[in-house]
Amino acid sequence: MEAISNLWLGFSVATSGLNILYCLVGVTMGMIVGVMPGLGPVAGTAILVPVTFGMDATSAIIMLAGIYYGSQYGGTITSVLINTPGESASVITCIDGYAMAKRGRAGTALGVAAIGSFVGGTAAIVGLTFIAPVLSKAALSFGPPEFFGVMLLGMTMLIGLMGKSLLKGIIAALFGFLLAMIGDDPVSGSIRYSFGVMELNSGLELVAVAMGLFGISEILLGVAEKATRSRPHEVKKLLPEKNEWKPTMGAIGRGTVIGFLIGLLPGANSVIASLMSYSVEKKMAKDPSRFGQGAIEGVAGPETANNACAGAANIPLFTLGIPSSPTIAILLGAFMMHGLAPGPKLFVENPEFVWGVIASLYIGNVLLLIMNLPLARLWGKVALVPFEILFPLVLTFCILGSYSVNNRMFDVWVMLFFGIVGYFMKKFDFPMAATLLPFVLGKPIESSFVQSLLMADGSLGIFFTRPISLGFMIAIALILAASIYSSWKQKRGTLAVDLE
Amino acid sequence: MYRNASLWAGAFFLVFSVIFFGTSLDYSYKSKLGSGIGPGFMPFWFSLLMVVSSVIYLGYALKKEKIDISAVVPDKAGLKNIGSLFLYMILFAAIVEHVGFIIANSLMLFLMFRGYFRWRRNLIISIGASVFLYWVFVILLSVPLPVNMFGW
Repeated sequence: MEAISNLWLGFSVATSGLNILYCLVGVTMGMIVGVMPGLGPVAGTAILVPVTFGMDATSAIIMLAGIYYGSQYGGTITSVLINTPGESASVITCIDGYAMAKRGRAGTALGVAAIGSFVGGTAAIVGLTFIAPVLSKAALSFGPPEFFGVMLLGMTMLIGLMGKSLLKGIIAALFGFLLAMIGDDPVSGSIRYSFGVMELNSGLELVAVAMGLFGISEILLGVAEKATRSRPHEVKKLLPEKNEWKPTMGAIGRGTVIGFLIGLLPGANSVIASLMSYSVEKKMAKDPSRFGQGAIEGVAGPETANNACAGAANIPLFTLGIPSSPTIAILLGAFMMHGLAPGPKLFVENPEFVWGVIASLYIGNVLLLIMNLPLARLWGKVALVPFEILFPLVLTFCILGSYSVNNRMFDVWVMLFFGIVGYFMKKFDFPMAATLLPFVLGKPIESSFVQSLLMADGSLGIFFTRPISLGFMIAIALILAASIYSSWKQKRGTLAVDLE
Repeated sequence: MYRNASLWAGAFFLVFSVIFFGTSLDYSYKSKLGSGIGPGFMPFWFSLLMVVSSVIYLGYALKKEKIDISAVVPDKAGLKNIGSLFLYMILFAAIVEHVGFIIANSLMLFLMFRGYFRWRRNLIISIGASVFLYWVFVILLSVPLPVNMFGW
């Protein structure tokens, strides 16, 4: 009952003032970001962070969160119409979605994807409404060792599950950790790794690093390879045939459960959710040979799963302050820039903010369903914007975004440097998400580690004597062992997709 | 051997980690207060781990992951495109704090759109987009941008 009354409070916040407009702007931006290959949700969210500086925290996060889940919807459209995923979670949709489009069923593929996305996304928000308050109460008993454990678990999952090589994942993560060490030490306040550059005293700017790694690198890849687009297929009938409803709804149901459970895990993300859903659908199908030829479950399941995952990923963010994907990491950064510390106390100290944002997710999902079902044709046209026009504009936005965080050109140079680094990391298959998340969590991890050791008089035993912390350590050991085993047996291919 | 791009990647991470490892030795490993750890603890271990991982990767690059440099570095046309892009951005960065955002950005966009639009249309689009962005960021959202003596 408490959750219902809180949600009521949330709706009054989300519908007051300009918040609905910010939600609409956020989800529309998310759709654009998702539809346009080359502008992923990370860069899209990062670009708009400085824009929110003049807003209050609730409106800012309502808009930025809209970009994240909006992009999950938008990414589908280009996957189906031109066989180019707008963002990574829609990679798998290309297989059967594009096959359906080639058979003249692009509209149906987009229709079931929109319905699945709505069901998955809404179910995840219902979960967020009822689970997050309980989890945040439980997390109030967490001390520094538990927070250290859960953050390390998130990092381990990310490195262990993603990317084609465990070694590359480890190097990418250590790279991120060391970049996080630049600037003031969170405990003693002493300056590290500034190399005499005054601007580095406060550390590298998250928005500049993220836009460089995820935005500029894409532009460089496009410019180097002269990106071209094929003409989209025509969008006709949006709903499936009578006999297709049953398998479609089954796939949507399974996708919801898979996506939601994966979203709860810190470190896992919607790419894993959509891959896992596809694999489950293929295994459950009476005739698996249909997959790849335009199986409707191959679109409905993964698209539902990635949206359910994106919604559920808010749970570790709101309750523990742990980002589970690079985009959520940007959201975490935005929380901090607006003076909010995500974590269990957020529900107690800022209920209007938390419930306002949660209520806006419901509203945003309805807006996205409207945008996707009747307006699917229009979005297909947006995807046709030529790269020659797109990249200078994206570049301008990136420059504006990185400059306006601290009003200095230094951050623009940092962004360009990480653009080059990101370009080569992509070329060499180093997972960039494994760099960005440790970069965001580096200092919190260090703080909680230092505080834990202070509590235990310098003994590492504290991580193994407290039950919750011990549980996290066991989980970390299991994931590492499984990852090393799969690398050794060369079985990483099953989940070997970078989350960029 | 120099054509094996993986070696260059490994070398980059090795040099990066060696610099960070060497510098970490300048920071105190233990806290000056009580039994805690100092600001050098985490950098020491992370950079040391990265040195070791980079060396392992270099070994891997020598034996297994041989990627020809042509697969990583863009071809001549691609390099020219990237080179021009950086040149335009450097030009933007060099002049923006003197001439202001609208002029610097219009010039950068004009140069980037060159070859796609005819010059008159290009000029209108470049200036129009810059003025629009200035209006959105500075006027509508109060986000400060570098401006000239006239305030734009």
